[in-house]
Amino acid sequence: MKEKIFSTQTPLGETISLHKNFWEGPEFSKTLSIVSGLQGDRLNGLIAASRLSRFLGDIAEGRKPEFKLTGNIQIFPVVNLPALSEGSAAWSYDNLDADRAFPGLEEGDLTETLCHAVLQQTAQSDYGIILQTAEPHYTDAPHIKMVSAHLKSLARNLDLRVAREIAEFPALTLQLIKQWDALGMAAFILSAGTPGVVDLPHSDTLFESILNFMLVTGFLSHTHRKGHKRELDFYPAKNECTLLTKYSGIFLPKSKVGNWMSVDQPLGEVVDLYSGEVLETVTAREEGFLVTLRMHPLVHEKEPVAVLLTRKSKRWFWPFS
Amino acid sequence: MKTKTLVSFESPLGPPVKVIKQTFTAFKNRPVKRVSFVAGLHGDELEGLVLCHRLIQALRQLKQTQPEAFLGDIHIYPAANPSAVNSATRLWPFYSKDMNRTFGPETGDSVPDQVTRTLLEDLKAHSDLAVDIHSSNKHLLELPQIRIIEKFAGKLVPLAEQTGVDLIWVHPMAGLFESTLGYNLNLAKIPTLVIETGICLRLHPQYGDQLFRGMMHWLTHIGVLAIQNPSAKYINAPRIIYPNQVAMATAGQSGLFIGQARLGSQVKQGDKLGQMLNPMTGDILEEVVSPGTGLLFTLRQLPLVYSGALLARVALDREPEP
Repeated sequence: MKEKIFSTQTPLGETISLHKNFWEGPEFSKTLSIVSGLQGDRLNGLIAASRLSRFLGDIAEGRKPEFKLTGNIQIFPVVNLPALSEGSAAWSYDNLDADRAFPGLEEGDLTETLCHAVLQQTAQSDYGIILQTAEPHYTDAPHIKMVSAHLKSLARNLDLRVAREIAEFPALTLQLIKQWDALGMAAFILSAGTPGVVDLPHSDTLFESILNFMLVTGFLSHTHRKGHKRELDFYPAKNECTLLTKYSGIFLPKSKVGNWMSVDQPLGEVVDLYSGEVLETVTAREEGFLVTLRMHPLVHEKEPVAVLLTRKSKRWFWPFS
Repeated sequence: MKTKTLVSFESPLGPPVKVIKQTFTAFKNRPVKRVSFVAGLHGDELEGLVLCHRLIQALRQLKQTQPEAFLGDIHIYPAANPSAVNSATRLWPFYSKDMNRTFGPETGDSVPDQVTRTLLEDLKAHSDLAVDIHSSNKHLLELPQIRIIEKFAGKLVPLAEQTGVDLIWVHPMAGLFESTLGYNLNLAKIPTLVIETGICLRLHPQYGDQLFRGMMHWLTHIGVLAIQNPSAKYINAPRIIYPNQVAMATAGQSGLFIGQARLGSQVKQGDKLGQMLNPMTGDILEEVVSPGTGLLFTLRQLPLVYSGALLARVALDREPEP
């Protein structure tokens, strides 16, 4: 069910096309849209989307008779095609981050029209999932991000331990998740890993997360597997603690994302580029979940090197129902 | 002139990242107004840097010869994104961040975000009026113009009329403006003019002269400088256009666009603006013609074009029939 949703030509006359995979459920069923490849270097989602497509294709073709499609599912493995072909986050032609270009334009530059096409194709969906990694130079522990805190109960269907609220900022309106949110869709970002790096365990985690979501939310049924609603730690945006360096130099991580950090536990060291001397040890100011960690070693002074999700105030704990 | 380092970050490899502000204070203790000029938010937009240079040069000279002419404070931030200027890139290198998409009440903690926050706070604290100077991206060449979001037009149009630009374009609000410097300063009730002129990585001396004369005239008009301005008679009366007075020519097909019109010329509907070529077959794919009668104020410069891309804008002489 590969379907062309947009097509244009390069200046040299070659055709480039944007596709989605679509599997139709029973009449009047709900629709789930899954988008990866908003940037050309976010590869874990690309791998997970590819695996999901094969899995759903097998179900549709009867090669997995224990599963049954009970909803409409569409997967957009890539949005920024030219950036992916360049191996970069944005396409060098316009340097435009596609996830700062929504709602896009019906007639405009290519990145804008690709964004417009994807938004048009997904606008009628009930649920949306965007597959992402950390920002450039960082790595993320697998976790859920959401604009609307009221979705935290639904987020339990995604079978990940940690969810965090996305802080409001003006450019958020240019991102796909905010556009979906404004359309009334239940929208999530699943983030895992580092840009430009394929991490197969992370891709597997994303795949399993979405599979569980499809089972619990009613897009798939299985003869005996039901999926489950998982215990979830939800962290409001105000509970994030960003740790900055004091000095410029080389940052060497001493911990791993996904760890629970206690107060004063070392996160990494900043060493001098020339002498190799340790200039400072960056430690956890508060206890919390280490969700994001700096991967690129070169750091300025006052540079963020880690994000902790803390329990400053009331912890939103969602037990099994 | 007072030089202040607004913000500084030690870098691991070389000189620190510094944003510098140059200030010319009023002759008397109480300035009548405080005006700020910001350039270089995008590091490849060089017209603003040159304009700041010329303003600093002229104001330094004036300060020496006629210090009493300064009735207000003038702050100039010639390179708001120094890392991008040093690399001649639109985005802040390494972070690939568009600095003019990071302004607003809630921002992150990255180095560019911290610079943005400090810059915005400083501008709010020390400005009654501001000018943010930009050039176009690498695709389009623009006549000197001021772009104004509709809801700020009442305050800004009368100010913009005294700047000597060719055009004042009043346009609707869109989501992308929410994170720009101009929008956030206007929201904070600091009237801010956003200039768009030329194209990135290039200088157009005639536009530079026009803007320099215009800014000196404007500073006099708003009462910040008390000088005789002999070039006042050369100041343009800008054409003011509203959204329905902008007609756009877009590419019907992908190919190579070869412009055949002169930016700033008066064109008639159907006049030839250029051709779209297929470089592989030698075919002429499309004759691109003017979508209306008026002033040609935007023209495509990067020839490689994808279908749907903007090729030209015309400021229509008359509003189209409803």
